[in-house]
Amino acid sequence: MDYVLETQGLTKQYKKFTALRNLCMHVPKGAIYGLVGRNGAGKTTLIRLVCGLQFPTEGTFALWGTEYRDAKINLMRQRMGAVVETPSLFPYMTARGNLEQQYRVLGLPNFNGIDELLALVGLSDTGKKKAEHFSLGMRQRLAIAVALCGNPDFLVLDEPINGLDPQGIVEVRELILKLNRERNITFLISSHILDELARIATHYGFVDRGRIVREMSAEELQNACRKCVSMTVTNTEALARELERRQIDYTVTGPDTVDIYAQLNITQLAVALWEEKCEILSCSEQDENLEGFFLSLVGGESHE
Amino acid sequence: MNKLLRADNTRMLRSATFRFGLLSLLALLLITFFLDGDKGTLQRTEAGFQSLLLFLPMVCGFLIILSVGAEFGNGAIRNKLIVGHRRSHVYTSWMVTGIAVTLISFVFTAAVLAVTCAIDGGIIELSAKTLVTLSGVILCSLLCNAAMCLLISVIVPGAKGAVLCFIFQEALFMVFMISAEEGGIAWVEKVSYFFPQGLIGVVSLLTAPEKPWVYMLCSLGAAVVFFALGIHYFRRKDLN
Repeated sequence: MDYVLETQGLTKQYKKFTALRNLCMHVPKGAIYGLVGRNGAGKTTLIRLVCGLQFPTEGTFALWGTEYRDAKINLMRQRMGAVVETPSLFPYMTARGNLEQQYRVLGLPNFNGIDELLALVGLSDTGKKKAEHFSLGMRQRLAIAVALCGNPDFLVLDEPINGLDPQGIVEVRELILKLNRERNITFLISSHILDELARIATHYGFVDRGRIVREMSAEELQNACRKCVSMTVTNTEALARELERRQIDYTVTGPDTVDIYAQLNITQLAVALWEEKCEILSCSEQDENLEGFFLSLVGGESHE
Repeated sequence: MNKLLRADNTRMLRSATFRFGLLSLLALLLITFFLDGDKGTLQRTEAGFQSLLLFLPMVCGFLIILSVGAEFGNGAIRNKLIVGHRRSHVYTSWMVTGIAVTLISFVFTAAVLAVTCAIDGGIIELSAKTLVTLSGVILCSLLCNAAMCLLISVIVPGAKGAVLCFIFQEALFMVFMISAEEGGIAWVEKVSYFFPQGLIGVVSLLTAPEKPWVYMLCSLGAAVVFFALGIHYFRRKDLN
C-alpha cells in the first residue's frame, strides 16, 4: 500500500513531559485519516512535527517515502497544506489578500486560481471585508483555502470543526468529502468530536497518552462496532452448525462465545440447540459506536 | 528564497504599519527641526540630523519587530514552513526585508531633512566625501540595529519584543548621552562603534568620523553576529 505519511517510533519530549511516545502510524494515499484522541493525547504535537513546526526528539517520519531528515523533504512538503489549531491568517487582509499572500509564498506565477478557491470554500462574495471581521466558520474555510493554494495532495487539518455552528460543521464536512472525491486529496484530520469524524473518515488512528493504540479502516471499525447478539454457550460447534443451517452471519470470539449478526428468534434457536445438547448460558445485545469503541480502547478514566 | 522575499517585501511595503512608521518619522523630524525656532538653519539641521540617529533605529526596529511578530502571532509563519521553506531562508528573507525597510526609511528621512532645510531658507554646503562617509557609517550602524531587532523579535515575538527593543535602544541612548556629558567613558565609547545611538555623540553633519571604516566594520561585524545567532536560534526553535 502507498502511504502518504508513515511514522516510526516518533517521540517528542518537552523537558519532563513526554507528548509522544514511540508513535507509529500509517496514512494511506487517498484516505481521510481520522486521528482520534482526547485533549492532551498528542494529536496536535504529532501534527506540528509532521508540518515541520517542531522537531522529533526520537524516531522518524516520512512523507511519500521521504524521511524528514532527507534534504528532499522540503520538496515533499510543497505537496501538502495544513491548518494547525487556529486559522493562520493576516487579520487585516481580505480573503483574496490572504490567498494572494500565500500564492506569493508558494511562488505561483499568477493569481488565476484564487477565484476558484474562493468559490470552492464559499467566500466569493466577501469583497473588501477583512479577515478579522469574519465569523469563525468563515475564517476556518479561508484557512482551508490558504492550505489548498498550490493544489496539495495531502491536507492536514487540526480540529477543523472546533467552535463551528451546525451549519459551519456541515459546510466543512461537505468540503472535505468533495476535495477527497474530486481531487483525491489525502486528509489527516484530528478531532475529538467523534460522531462528526465517523461521517467522513475512511481510516482511524486512536491516540492515547502519546501512542497510537490502534489503527484500523472504517470497514474494520464498522465490523467492530456492528450490532450483534453475543451468546455464551456450552458448545460453540453446535451453535455454529445451527447458525450455518439458518444462513446467519456470526463470529466465534472465544472458546464459549459467539457474536451473531442478525435479529434472532431466541426461543427457536434455544429449542434447536437443546436438541444438540447445547445450553445457552448468557445472551446480550451489543451496539457500539465510535465513541464506545474509543472508550473501550483507551479506558474511561481521566488522564489529566 | 525569492518567493519569500517577494511575499515579505510586498506585505511590508503595502502595510499600514510601514506608512504609519514613515509618517511618524516625518513628524518627529519636523518637530525636532522647528523646536528651536530662534536658531539658524545649520543648527536646526544638525539637531534634525541627530534626531535621525535617535528616531530612525527606533522606528525601523518597531517595523521589523511588528512585522515578524505578526507572523508569529497570527500563525502565518506556519504557512511558510508547512509548504517546505527552509527556516534559514525564512529568517534571511526577514533580514533582507528589514534592510529594505531601513534603506527606504533612511532615504526618506534624509530627503525630508534636505527639503526642510531648503524650505527653511538656507542650503548647507556639504562636501560630497563627508556626505558619503556619513551615510555609510550611519547605514552600517542601522543594519546592525536591524539585525539586533530581528534577533529580539524571534526570541521574544510580538509586543513584548517591541517593548524590550524600545527599552534596550533607550538604554543605549541614555548611556551614550551620559557618557558624552561625563567626558567619555572608554568602554561606552567602544560600544558606540556598533549602534546608531552611539553615533549621536560622535558624528556631526559637518564632520565625518576620523576612522569611518572602523565604525563600519564594527557595525557590520556585529550585524553578521546578530544574524548568525538569529538563524542558529530560529533553526532550533519549536513553533506552535
